[in-house]
Amino acid sequence: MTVILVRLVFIYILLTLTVRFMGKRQIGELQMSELVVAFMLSELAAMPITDTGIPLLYSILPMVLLAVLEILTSFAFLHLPTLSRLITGVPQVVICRGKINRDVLRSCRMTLSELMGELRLNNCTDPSDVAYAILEENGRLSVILRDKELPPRAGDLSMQVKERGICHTLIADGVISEAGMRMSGVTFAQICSYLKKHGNAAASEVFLLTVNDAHEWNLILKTECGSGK
Amino acid sequence: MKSVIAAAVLLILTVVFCLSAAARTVSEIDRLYAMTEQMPVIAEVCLTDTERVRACADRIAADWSRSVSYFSYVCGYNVLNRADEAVWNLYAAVGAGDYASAIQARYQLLDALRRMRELERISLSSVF
Repeated sequence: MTVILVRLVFIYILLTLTVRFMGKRQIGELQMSELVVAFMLSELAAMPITDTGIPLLYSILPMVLLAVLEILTSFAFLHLPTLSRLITGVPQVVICRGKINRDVLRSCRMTLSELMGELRLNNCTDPSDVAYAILEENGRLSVILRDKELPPRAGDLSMQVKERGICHTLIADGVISEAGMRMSGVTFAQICSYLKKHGNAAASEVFLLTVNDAHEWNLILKTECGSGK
Repeated sequence: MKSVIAAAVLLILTVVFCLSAAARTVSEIDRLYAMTEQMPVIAEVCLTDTERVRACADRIAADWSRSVSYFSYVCGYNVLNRADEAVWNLYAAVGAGDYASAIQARYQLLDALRRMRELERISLSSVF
């Protein structure tokens, strides 16, 4: 029984390291081969946990080899576009300027009801409102609406809008984020100065401190969130 | 690029490890096979040369005890258990003077070792 638990912990660590090694592509499943690898990895990982009749090496080596092959394959695809096109295919335009391409639908073996379902999932009910619907290499359908169907943007209304960018986390749960400081260009002294001006709180008392690209700060203390520690 | 280089290095290491493990496994199996083949196959011969048969069985059991922990890392347990059972049946039969059972266990051990060797080699039968 203990052997199963030890194997579980070992396989868990190995699986986490393997997926980390393969990178964000594997988690995002950008290509169908990555989906296949995900299935195979889960099967290989589960095998020796419950079946102690299988040596652990029978799982470890295939997992390592799978990760290695996946990385080398994606590297080959990067440098050999012909190979990439052969294995992963190319994006296919299913709807072009409101018109459904029946030949592409047929070649993708996609039914009309499946296409309409995908459009609805993209908040569109009328194919004539679609500028382009593209079946991507990972099997997902990208829907780009015609400009007249899009909500008006600030630029369309000739409005002057401040560029807020994104919020960079400076302190999360009492811990100062160096990456956040680097991305936002904020120094430690500036953080201390801000905290001093707003209740003289220590960094450890801060639940969340963010700053966006327009230098608008947002502070949430732990006491405001129900934790007084 | 770092991950590609790491992947290439890992690939080489994995292949080298597999080949060297297979080579070592095959050499250990061959040694055990040779030792097992030295045992007589006729019960009457065993009766006249009990010392040699006993020494043979002792050597096989000792060598197997040394090798089995390594085999447990690289061989499937089905075939490993078959060989293990055959070894200890052989040892017990020789100890009890039951040479007919010893000869039977000898053949079982040879068969199990043959299967283990076959699974370590890359061939159509082992792959499929």
